[in-house]
Amino acid sequence: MATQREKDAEDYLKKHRIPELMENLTAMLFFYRPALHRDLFLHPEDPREFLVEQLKELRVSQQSNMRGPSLFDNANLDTVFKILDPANQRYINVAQYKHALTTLGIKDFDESPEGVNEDRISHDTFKREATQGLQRCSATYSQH
Amino acid sequence: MDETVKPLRIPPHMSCYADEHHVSHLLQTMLSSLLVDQPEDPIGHLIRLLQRTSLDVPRVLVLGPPAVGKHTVATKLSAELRAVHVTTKVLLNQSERSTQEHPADQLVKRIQQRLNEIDCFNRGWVLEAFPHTRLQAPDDVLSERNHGKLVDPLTGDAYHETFVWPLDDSVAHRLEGRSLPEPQQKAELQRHRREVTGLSSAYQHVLKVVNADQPHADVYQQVLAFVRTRHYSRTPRILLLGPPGSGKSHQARLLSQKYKMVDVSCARLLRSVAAGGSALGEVIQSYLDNGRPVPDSLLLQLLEERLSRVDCSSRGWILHGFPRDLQQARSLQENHPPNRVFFLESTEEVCLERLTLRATDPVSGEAFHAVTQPAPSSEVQNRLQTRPEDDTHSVTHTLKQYRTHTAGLQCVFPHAVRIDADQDPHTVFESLESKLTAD
Repeated sequence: MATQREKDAEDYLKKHRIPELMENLTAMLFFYRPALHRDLFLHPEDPREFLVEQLKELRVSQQSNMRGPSLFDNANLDTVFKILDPANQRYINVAQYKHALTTLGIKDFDESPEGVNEDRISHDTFKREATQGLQRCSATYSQH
Repeated sequence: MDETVKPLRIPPHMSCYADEHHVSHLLQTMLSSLLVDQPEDPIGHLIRLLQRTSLDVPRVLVLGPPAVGKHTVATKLSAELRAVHVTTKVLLNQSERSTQEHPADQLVKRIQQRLNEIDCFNRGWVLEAFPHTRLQAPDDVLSERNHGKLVDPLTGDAYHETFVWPLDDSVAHRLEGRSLPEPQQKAELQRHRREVTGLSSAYQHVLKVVNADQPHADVYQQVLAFVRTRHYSRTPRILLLGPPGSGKSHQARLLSQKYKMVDVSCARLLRSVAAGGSALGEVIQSYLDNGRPVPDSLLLQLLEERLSRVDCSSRGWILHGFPRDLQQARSLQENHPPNRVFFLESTEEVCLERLTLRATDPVSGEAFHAVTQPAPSSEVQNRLQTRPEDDTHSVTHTLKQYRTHTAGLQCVFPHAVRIDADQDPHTVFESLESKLTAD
C-alpha cells in the first residue's frame, strides 16, 4: 500500500512528465557524449553544461510552444522515409508507417491518417505525423 | 523495416562514458532532488542544480548526547567544507526568545526554511544537534566534559577547561562558565538515549558512529574522512585474474549471485559453444579434444559476441579465465575495458592443494574437496571422480605458465587491486566487495 507521500511523488512525476524528461536527457547525453575526446583535457563539467543547454532549449520551447530538442531532425525523417521507399514511389504502406513511427519512439500517433484506406501513406502525411509525435515526446513539461 | 527486429546492441563506449563522467550518479542526483523538493518548475530547478559548482554539496547532521563535542566538530567541518553552519540556537534566537520550550513543528519549519535558502542550496549545510553522524561516549566522560564547559559569550564558540583551551588569551578572559546543571544534563542524556535508536534506523544508509571518547582532533578527522567518501554506482565490468586454484570461479559465482551481474567464464563459454553444434562450435571442439589452446582470434570473437549482448550491457559482467597473456589483455582493454580488475594472489602450495584434492560426484553433480568439503559417506567417496587436468603434474604446469604471464598482465592493468586469496572464501569475498564501490 503506497503511503500518501509516495502517492504525491507519483502524481508529481506524472504531472510534470519527469520520467520522459529523464529519458530524453539520458538519450541525448549518451548519443552526443559531450567531452569524450581521449586526447584533449577532459572537463568534468561538460556533461552538466551540455544538460544545462538542453534544459534551456527545452524551456524556450515550452514558452514559445515550438518543437523542443530531440534526437531526430527533419533530415532524419526524410532518410527514414527513403529507406522505407527505395523505389521512390512517394508512398509507403500502413504497416511500414506504423512500424516506423513506433521505432522513432512515438506513441499515440494517428493510426488512420489520410490514405489509410488505399494503404498508401504519403511522404507529407508521414512527416507531419512524425513531427507532431516528436513534438509530443519532447514536450516533457506539464501541459497547462 | 526488418533492420529494427535485430537484437539491440548497446555500444560499449557508452558504458565507458558513463563510468568516466559518473553519469548514473548525475542522473540519480537530479531525479532525487526533483522528488524530494517537488518544485513547481522542474526545468528551472534542474538548471540551477546543474549550475552549482559541485553536484555533491555536503548535507551533514551531527548528532549526539549533550557535551559530546558536536558544536566543535560542526564548526570545524563547516569551515573546512565551506558549508553553512546551522544551529538550532541561532535559529531560535532569530524567531522568538520568549518561551523556554519551543514546539517541535515550529522548529522543524524554521529549519526547513533555512535549509531551502539559496546559500544552503549552493554550498551545503552542517546541521547540529538535530537528526548523519552519531557520536557516542561513556557517561562519566560526558559529565566531566559538561562540568568544564565554557562559552565565549561573543562568538558563541564552546571551549573546555581541560580539553579545549582557546588559542587567544583575550578570548580566555572573556569565557564564562556555561555548564548545564546535573539533573538537566541527566534528563537530556536520557532523552538522547531514547531517540538514538529511532534516528539510527532512519538514517542507517548514511550513518557513521564515531567514538567521541578520543581527543577531539581525532574525532574530527574521522568525521571528515567519512563525509568525503564517495560511493558511485556503476555497471560492473569486473575482471578476476589469478593462478588456477585461487578461487576465481567461486568468487565470480558469489558476486554474480549477490549483485545480479552476468558470470562469464571463458572455459564455460568455450564448452557451451562447442556443444552448440554450429560450425564454429565444431572447430572449437576439435581444439578442446586435442588439448590445444583455442587461438586468440576465435576466443576474442566469442567474447566480443558474449559481452556485447544486452544482458551484459545492462547488468554488467564478471569475467574470469581470460586474458591469459599480454596480447589478450590488450585486446580486451580495447574493446571492453573492465572498470575493476582484481588479482587473486595465492601461493603455489595452496593452489595445488585446492586443485588436486577436489573431486565431483558423478551421480549428484556435487563438488567435494578432501580437506574443506569431504564427501558425506564412503559410498559417495568411492564413486568420486577427478578431472584429468587436476593431477599434480598438469596443475604445476599451468601454474608455471601463469607465473610467466603475470608481469605482462600487471602492466596492462596498473590500477588492479591485489587480494590475498589464500584466506577462506568468505574473507576474500568481503575484501572484493569492499573495493567494488569505492571510487
